[in-house]
Amino acid sequence: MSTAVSDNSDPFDVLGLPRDAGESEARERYLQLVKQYPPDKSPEKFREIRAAYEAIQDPLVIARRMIRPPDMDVPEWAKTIEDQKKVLPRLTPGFVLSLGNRDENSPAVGPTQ
Amino acid sequence: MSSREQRRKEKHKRKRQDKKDQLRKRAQGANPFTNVRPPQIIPGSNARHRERIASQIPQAWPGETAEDAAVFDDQLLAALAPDAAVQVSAVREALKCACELRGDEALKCTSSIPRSSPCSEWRLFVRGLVSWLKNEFTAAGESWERLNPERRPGRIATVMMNSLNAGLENASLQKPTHPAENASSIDWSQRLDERLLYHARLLRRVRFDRAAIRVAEAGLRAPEEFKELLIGPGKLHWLLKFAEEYRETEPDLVAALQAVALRRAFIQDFADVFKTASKVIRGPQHDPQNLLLSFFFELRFTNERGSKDLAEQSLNRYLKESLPKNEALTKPLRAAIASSIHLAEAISKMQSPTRMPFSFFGQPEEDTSGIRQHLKEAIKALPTHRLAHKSYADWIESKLDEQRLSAKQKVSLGKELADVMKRWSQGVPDEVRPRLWLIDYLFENEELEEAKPHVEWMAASRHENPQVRAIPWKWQILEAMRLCRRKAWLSDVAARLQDAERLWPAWLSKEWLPYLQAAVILRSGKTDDFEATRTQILANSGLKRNSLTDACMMLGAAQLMRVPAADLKPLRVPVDTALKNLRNVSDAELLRVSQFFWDLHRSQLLYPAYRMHGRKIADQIRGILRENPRRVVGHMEDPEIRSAILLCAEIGCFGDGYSVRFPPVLMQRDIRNHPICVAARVNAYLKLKHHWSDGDFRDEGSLLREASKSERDPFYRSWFVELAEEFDEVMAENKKGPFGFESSFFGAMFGGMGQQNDDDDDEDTLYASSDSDCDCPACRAARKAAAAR
Repeated sequence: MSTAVSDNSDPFDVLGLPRDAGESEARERYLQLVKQYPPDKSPEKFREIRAAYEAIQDPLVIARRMIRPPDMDVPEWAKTIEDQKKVLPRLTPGFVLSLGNRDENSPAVGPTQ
Repeated sequence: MSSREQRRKEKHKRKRQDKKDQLRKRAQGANPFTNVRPPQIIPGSNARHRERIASQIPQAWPGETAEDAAVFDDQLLAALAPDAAVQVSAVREALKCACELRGDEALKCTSSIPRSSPCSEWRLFVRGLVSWLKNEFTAAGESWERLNPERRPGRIATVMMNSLNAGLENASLQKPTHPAENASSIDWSQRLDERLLYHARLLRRVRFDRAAIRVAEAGLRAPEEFKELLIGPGKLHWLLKFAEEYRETEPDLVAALQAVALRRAFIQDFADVFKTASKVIRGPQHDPQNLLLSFFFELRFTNERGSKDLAEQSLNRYLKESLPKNEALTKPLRAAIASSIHLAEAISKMQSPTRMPFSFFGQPEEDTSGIRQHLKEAIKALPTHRLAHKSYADWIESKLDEQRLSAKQKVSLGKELADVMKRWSQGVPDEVRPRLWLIDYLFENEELEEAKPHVEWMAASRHENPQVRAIPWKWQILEAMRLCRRKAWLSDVAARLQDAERLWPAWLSKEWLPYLQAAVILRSGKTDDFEATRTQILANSGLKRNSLTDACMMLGAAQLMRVPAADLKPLRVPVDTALKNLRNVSDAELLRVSQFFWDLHRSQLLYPAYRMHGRKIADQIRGILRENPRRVVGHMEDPEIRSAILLCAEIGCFGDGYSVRFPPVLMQRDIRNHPICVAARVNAYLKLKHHWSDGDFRDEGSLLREASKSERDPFYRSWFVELAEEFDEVMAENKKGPFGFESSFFGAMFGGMGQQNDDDDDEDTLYASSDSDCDCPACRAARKAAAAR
């Protein structure tokens, strides 16, 4: 028996997506959750996630969510900064690769091959 | 110039001047910051750090292996042997995936690189990088231990492991630093050279120290110009400077703070601050120019001159300019957004007490052309939008219900509804409602060729809806009716009725069939045969000649089978006589006819005269239910009682258009949750023009679904589920406004009235109280209690 998203649960809430999440963000989050809750270990949770993702495949579901006006509760600066402290800045491949650059005259160090 | 003309011109001039003055006043009033000096808080320059980051470009050193350099150098990649090029490309892809935190995909990319390959170092490096980016530093160190410290992967690993050291700023090459605790069994600081130390410090600043966080904390702590202000021009100015400085190095932080600023500017009522914020801060992916947000902002002030225009302008610009060009969204999503907005606009313009403020001067005229335009645009943008089709059809049907329509208007609306239903069945082919409607409509208009595909689709579909399954039967009845139009075709009618008899649905009473056959005989002009058939029918059914049921069945059959007016006239007489004195018609007779009427509704085969007497008879039946509780209690399984209850709900006898007025007997504790009572209550609620007493309805949807599981009658089994779905849909829509606003002041603006479960509403609706017209003891007691409250 397939477990659909229960009537009262918002598929966006099930997937933990923000109000204005787009298609790519939804897919990324879905893949993350599926890895976190694989069907063999958490079948119920997996079914719930799957049903929620299927529900938001309908562009109308995303569209309706997007065209809602923002909530009227005041967002706090401090909370946003605290949240952002947990989100470490992303590194680009170019930056990572540049960390291995070497000066022409820098001596070789450490054990040799 | 005549004095009249002069006066007119002066009046216009005065009006223009007044308008200008008002606009000027509003502009001044909207900017309370004219004389306020914003606090001078400017974030320190991050230019040096940005320059350092910008200069970080991977560069090959003399003697670096071609495979390593090809990871970032396209020319070298092109010069590699094909096998090596494939592996290097895989490394590139893996690095990209790892940096985007798609660790599993990154590992998959490099899994095909053999251990003997010069690229195998990269395979190890990627594994460690995936762990490092997940803050699993011990695992990262273990993966990187075996890397050659002289090659690029090993050098990067040295930098990344050393960047974990909090004391790195004070470290020097002469004095080895302490390795990060438990990060690895080897001392990574031993591998540092000057360049690597510089890179490790830089990485630490970028990834862990994050000066931007400290700057943001300090800057956002600064007070606003006023205590009540959520964000003022000073803070906004600071944030823009901050964004300039840190956008490149901390894009997520900057975006998050800007989103907060935009929302704070939206929530407060200062147009100038919002206007500035919405112009300088990029909005979300679907609304980068904040046009939709501006629409919502202006919508709050539609009582003010100009705000309504501004709101409309913003929405038009969003729909016509911004959305169609927004390549960040897929085409279906763009279409869905446009369609949803048009539908929401149409719904918000529809006249409904739940959406219109009460006015002593009556309700303003409904903008029908605006509604039409938006509904058409909603369907054009997304032809598969079921709700848009349904809303359009419902709206026209509500117009057709209006009493003061001329015949011309009725025809015009009928044609429009047919067009809507056609587009609905094309856009959403699986939808049953438009097809069922179209079959009747097209048949009525003799457009058989157009009706046939719908009939065939219905017949071929294994739909659970018994009305759909009954379509082949109904087709035979409709065909028989059509053939009765001409005398020359009458010979084929009997065969059609025979087929109809064969296909007769089990959930419909067959009592009417002989009447249809008799009507065909009368249509043929064989009056003697007709009389003989009538006698036979009465003998078989036990009905009295010209009793109400007999008279209605005969009149209905004769009208549908096109019996000429002269022959029809005597058939009208017993019905008209009964109508004149309905109080003298026995309860048993009225209950019996209710079964026939309910079947007509279920099969959608209402005869023309029914519209004249159906409601009157149903009102009388409602009286029986209300005044004789004994006829109902303990008889809920009696088909006549069931039909009577459901007929009254279907016709709208249990409501006044605005609230459900259910007879008290049907609200008695042992009956109220009977599936028939619940279905009647839900149906009566759905038949209301405006659904604003939903506070009284709670578990009806689940009760019906539960009842459908044990129901043996196929019609009710399917209908209960259908009702429950429609009911849930209406309840869900009721909670939201046209834009799906929930619990916000937008919701109050559009749909708040009556949607809040005010205690006062309970007195109006008689879900568990009394009927104001009823004089039974229960209702009198309930009214007395209400008055005492």
